[in-house]
Amino acid sequence: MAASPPPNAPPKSILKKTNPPPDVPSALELTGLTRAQAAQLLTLSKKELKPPIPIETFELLSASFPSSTPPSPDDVSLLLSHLPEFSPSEYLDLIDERNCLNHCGYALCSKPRRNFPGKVKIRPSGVAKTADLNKWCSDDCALKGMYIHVQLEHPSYEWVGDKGEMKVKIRLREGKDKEKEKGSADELEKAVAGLSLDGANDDSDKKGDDAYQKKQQAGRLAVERNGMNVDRVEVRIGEKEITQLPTAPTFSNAQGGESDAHLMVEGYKIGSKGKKAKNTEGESEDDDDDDFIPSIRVESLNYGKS
Amino acid sequence: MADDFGSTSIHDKEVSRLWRAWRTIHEMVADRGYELAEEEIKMPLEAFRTKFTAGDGSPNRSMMSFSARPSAAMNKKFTPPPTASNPDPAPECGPIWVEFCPEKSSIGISVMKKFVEHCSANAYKAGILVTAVALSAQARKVMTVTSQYTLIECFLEEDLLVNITHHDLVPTHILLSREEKAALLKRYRLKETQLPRILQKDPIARYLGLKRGQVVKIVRTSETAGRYASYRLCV
Ligand SMILES: [Zn+2]
Repeated sequence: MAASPPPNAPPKSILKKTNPPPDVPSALELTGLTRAQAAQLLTLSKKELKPPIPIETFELLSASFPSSTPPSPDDVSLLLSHLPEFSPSEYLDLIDERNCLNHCGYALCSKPRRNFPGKVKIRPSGVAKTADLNKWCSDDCALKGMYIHVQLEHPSYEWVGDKGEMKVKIRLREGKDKEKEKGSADELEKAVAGLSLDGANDDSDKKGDDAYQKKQQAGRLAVERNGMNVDRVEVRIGEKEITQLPTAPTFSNAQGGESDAHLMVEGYKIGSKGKKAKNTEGESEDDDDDDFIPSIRVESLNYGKS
Repeated sequence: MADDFGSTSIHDKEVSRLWRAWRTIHEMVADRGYELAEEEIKMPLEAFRTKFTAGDGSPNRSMMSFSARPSAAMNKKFTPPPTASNPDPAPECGPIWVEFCPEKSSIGISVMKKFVEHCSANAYKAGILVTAVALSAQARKVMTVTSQYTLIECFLEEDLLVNITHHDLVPTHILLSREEKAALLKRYRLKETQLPRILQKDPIARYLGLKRGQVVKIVRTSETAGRYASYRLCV
């Protein structure tokens, strides 16, 4: 018979033994990140995920904008200050919003948009939907408007300010009339001036403090690259003097007067190159052998004789 | 066509379409539980034409707006249960304002803002804007941003030409009150996420103006089982 339990023992549970439930891991633990990493991720996401453009900005840039015709420099700078924040689709929304108010889709144009009837229109460049054409007052404005859209879709960034913020670079397209006036050479010159780091040579359209800022930035960049502001090696580029008149090549003076010299490119004949090269190589090897062995023979013979 | 009265006006088609939208929106507002007069809901086309068209037969949309108050039954349904801190809770529904937008080319931020401002200035708890054309993306945003204060909904005239709930294959949807929903979950020992779902953008959900978390009872007639009810949670 089983022994009865000692009277002092506590009553034994008949339920299955269960392990204490494990501590429920927090969301932080589940992701495997430390608190610092999570905080970093949060700030990063705030910085990287662009907040949507506020509706007030849309209202500002669509209703009665620009304030004058032609647009004042204030209007241009206002637009350029807002545009880098836009995503491509938000920019299309802006065009839409301007169209709702019957304005031309290009933000610096104060004309009403055009109103072609029908669904499609045949133009010299092809067939176009009138819905697309009616977003603008003219083809010129369409080009200018979409020029901005392309820059937002394929952004090139520039550094802005001392905090090292990156900003999408937006340039406005010059109008047709202006382009004709200035000419493409002038355009190119301007583009090159924009590329150079020190703003010394594009002071034509930039203010003095802007040029100064650029110079400062160039200095900072030099320090970043070299470790300190060192003097650079002076490089002079000289012109090669030509003393005699150049002469055209003739068949007789090229490659020792070979008949197929005109087919040679830098000494090689195209097409038959592989085959010929092999042959000549083989021959030369043979020649070498021939030259080598008889010479030994001759030498040995001579040696024996003497 | 049944509503073709042989008039030669060029606006005839537009007026009859508008009349259909007018009927559907009235039926919808009535189905949601607001009080509307029978003669307003069932206005014949001729009466509609004389009331809302200008001399040349063109419809006058700006005259077509109307408001409605929630019925006693609706007030009861939308009143949260009294608690110790709030023994006499106010119903969560209020008067509704319905407007037909006269804009015909495109609807931008300004039109939408004006509508929202009108609704909040006159203390409407809900507003429905019926438009002939789609809203711009940013106007849609205005609608959702301000929806915490006043519930704004938008319908296209095109979507209101027929009342979908009158279709033979659309079963009856009934919105459950808060207590009914709690009772349902208790009765079947469910969490609300365990219910089948219905999308907020579902045409019926839009018709009833369902909000996230509300439950509809769907009553179908079955040849073998008679009537049979199922429930869906709006997500
Ligand atoms: Zn324009």
